[in-house]
Amino acid sequence: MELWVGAMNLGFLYAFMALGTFITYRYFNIADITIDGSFTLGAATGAILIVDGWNPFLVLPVSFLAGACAGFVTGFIHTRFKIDSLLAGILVMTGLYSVNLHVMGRSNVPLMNHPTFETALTRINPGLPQEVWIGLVLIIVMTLMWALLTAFLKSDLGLTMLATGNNPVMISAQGVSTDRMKILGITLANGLVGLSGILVAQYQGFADIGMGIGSIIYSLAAVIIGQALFRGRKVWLSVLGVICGAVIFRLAVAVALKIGFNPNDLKILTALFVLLTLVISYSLKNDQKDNGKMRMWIRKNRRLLFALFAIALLGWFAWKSFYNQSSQDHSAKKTRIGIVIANQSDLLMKTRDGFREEMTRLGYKEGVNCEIHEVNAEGDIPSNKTIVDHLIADHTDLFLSISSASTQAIINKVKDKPVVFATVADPFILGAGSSPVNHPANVTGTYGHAPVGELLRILSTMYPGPRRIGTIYNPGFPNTKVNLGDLKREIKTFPRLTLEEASVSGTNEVLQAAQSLASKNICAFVLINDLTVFNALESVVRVSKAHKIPIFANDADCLDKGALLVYGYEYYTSGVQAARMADRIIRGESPANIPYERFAHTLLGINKDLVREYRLNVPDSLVKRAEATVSGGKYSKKAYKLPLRTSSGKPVQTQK
Amino acid sequence: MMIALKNISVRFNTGTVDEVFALKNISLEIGGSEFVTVIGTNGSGKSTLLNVVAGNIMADEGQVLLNGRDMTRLPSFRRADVLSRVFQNPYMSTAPDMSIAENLLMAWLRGKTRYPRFSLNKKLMALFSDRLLELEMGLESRMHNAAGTLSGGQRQAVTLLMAVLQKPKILLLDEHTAALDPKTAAQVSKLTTRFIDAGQLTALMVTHSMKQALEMGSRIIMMHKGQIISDIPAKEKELLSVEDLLGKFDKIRKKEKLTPEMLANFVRQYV
Ligand SMILES: Nc1ncnc2c1ncn2[C@@H]1O[C@H](COP(=O)(O)OP(=O)(O)O)[C@@H](O)[C@H]1O
Ligand SMILES: [Mg+2]
Repeated sequence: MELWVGAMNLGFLYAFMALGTFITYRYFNIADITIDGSFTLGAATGAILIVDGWNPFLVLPVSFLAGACAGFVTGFIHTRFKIDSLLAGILVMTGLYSVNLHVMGRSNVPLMNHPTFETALTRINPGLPQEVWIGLVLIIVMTLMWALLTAFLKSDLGLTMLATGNNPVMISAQGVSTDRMKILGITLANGLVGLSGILVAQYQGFADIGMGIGSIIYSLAAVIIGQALFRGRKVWLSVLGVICGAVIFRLAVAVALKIGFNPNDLKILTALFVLLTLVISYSLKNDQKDNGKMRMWIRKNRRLLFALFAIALLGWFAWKSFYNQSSQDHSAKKTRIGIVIANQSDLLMKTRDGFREEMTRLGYKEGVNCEIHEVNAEGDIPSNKTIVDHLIADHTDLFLSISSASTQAIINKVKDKPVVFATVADPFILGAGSSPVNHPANVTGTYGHAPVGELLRILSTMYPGPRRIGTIYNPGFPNTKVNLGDLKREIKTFPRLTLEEASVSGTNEVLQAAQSLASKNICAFVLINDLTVFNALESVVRVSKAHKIPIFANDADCLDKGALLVYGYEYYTSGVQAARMADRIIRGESPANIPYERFAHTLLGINKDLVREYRLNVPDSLVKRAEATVSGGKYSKKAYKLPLRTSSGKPVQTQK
Repeated sequence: MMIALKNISVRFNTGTVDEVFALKNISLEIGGSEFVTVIGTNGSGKSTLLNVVAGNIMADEGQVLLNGRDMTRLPSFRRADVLSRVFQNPYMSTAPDMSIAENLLMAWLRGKTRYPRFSLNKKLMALFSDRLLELEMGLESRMHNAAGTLSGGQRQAVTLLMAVLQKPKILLLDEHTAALDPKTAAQVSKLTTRFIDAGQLTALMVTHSMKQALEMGSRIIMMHKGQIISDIPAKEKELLSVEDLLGKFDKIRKKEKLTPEMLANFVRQYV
């Protein structure tokens, strides 16, 4: 129930965005991609103001205006300079990425401990389940919105907008500037999108730089579903159709997650669905002279095509759910553990492995005394929330969140079940308490910033005299801000070192960034934990080899990929630590009494081949300390076992 | 002068092998309440002339004055308060997905700011109904039907009504009956004359039929290859017959060395 109502509510909030797309797409035949940026802009502006102490309802018009400004720019450059609407949208969307980062000052603004429309509603909840209560209120809001938008579109101005798209020659003969009408339409549409952005941000509990990606396809899908529901030219029905379309789309996402569908596949399915509908509506147009064979065939068989699509989908769903059913059989006595992971990146997968393997060692067997349900959001931020709703509906007893984004989604939502987080750089900026012992009663976990100070200390012993070091980072990535702040703070204690920075916005910029640093006469690359840079590590290694500039990294995994020296956490042990905390909770301890733990194990690794090649002076003591080495092209690592101890230092009894 | 064109030239595809002079140094003055018909061979620049007056095509050289104001550089929508127009293609003048009433509303709001308010009230509907009655096509009972469901003749009639609903000073008509069957064409022509007379409008009507040119309006302009080759004032026009007009074309024939077959073709097209 919670899952479906939650999906419906999310659909309502996304409906504002779909209504924006409805205006640009139905009225002017423009698929306005600006909304990918203005959605985030609305969320960013509103979130920053809320953090600043603004009332969560007062920020709504501001977010509307922010989105509207973005739309105005698109409309203006599209009409004034006759730039294709798609290109104009792409230009503005691209520019908005930087604007959004500047507005937020970081890549993610949590609203966890700030008032949102949700907290305001909770206060006046007459005793209904939270999501149901929100759903009821949203139904009233959406009815108002429906009436308001219908009235607007039926007014003199709305009809003139319709006429502008329908017959521009006629309406300009009636003294209307079609350019101005288009600008107005695109502005209004993006205003609605901005409003949708802040509503979704308040609902999911944070604004994030990536939250708008793919919006145009989702909202086009909603508009198209709406058109299929209610045909004809009755405005009030079309508007209702779009709202329903947005809800249906979100429900479909919930269904997909429920049966363990990969959200990445959902993207191509959505794209296919939109494509199919567009192809069919194209083939249905009468006024085209070209009546090619293929067109006529599509036209004749359009119902068959939809049916095939639906059958293929249902078949896939059925197979998936059968597969899932057979792999897990629900029964009451087992502990249900739900794992939410933000994406497929290496460190998150290692954390997951650490958790699962340690759980097995602690005596938990899937299907015997526990059920583990793991869902990956595959990088899609709103999916984290739907996954959480889904796990709640699945009667999960204990939640494990891996990554900051998933943790944010869970702690915003789950207040009465224990939550353990792992591989989070800083739980406090997510709003999860103020210190390792002072935290929400149902939450505990393991965290840590990469130990950049120690890395710098090692580097300074190897490089005497004044030196420059270079670092590369993506300011658009969660946690990077924390790590960069650490680096900047720590480097002050080494007055001999000066820092050269290069920021990137994607993996394909890393090579150039590394080259620009190399030209600045740096002695070493110091890589803080940044997923973008690690994903493009090969680029840095190339420059490193060409210029003989060694790489020092805060991530243990960089060693066998070309770094000279690594000092960093092993995320596997983060998972192990989380598993032990989960074990304590399952045995009856309250998470309130379990302090947050820092990652317990840091690994030092040295590439001896590179030391020799660069003729570097590495103290023997350091080499002896190294747990991992590369020598003669071979990677080797000393075995490490995390000692089993509780926080009070007593050995832990395992179930075995 | 209601319409004054001074030394207007329009070129298309400038600088390419396809360069054409659609209008060559044209000057023309039309007084208030004058009804001028324009005839001429295909491609002689009649539509271009109307487009220059309406602002849909900007003249490369020359000046356009409407109602005494220089409007040479104004886009079409900024001229709509003085002029309205009806196109040859019935599809071009109405919004097909909007109802007849909504289309009329768009014309009713010509030259007014369009606010988010509801002007289409009962009173206005009654007015539209009365005006539709004048068309004698039974459209007053179909006001909520989409304009796209109307026949070509009905659409042209509605378009004509839209053009004169907010009385303009100037009405431009470009072969607006050419696409209709003879009976409907006659009906639309009758309406045209009636609306122009009733509103004392200054009208510029392009026609493909010399008969129509003689029957309607007070002055005839003949165009050829982007130039006005003959400007027949009211007095002279009254004495003119179709044969006389053809005689004028015959002169061109001699100048242009048209073959008799081409002339025959021409007559078929124009009479
Ligand atoms: N948009 C255009 N692009 C290129 N040539 C054009 C365009 N419009 C008209 N022409 C050319 O200009 C000339 C005059 O056209 P037009 O005014 O439509 O003639 P008429 O209406 O008298 O038949 C023709 O040779 C035509 O091919
Ligand atoms: Mg023409």
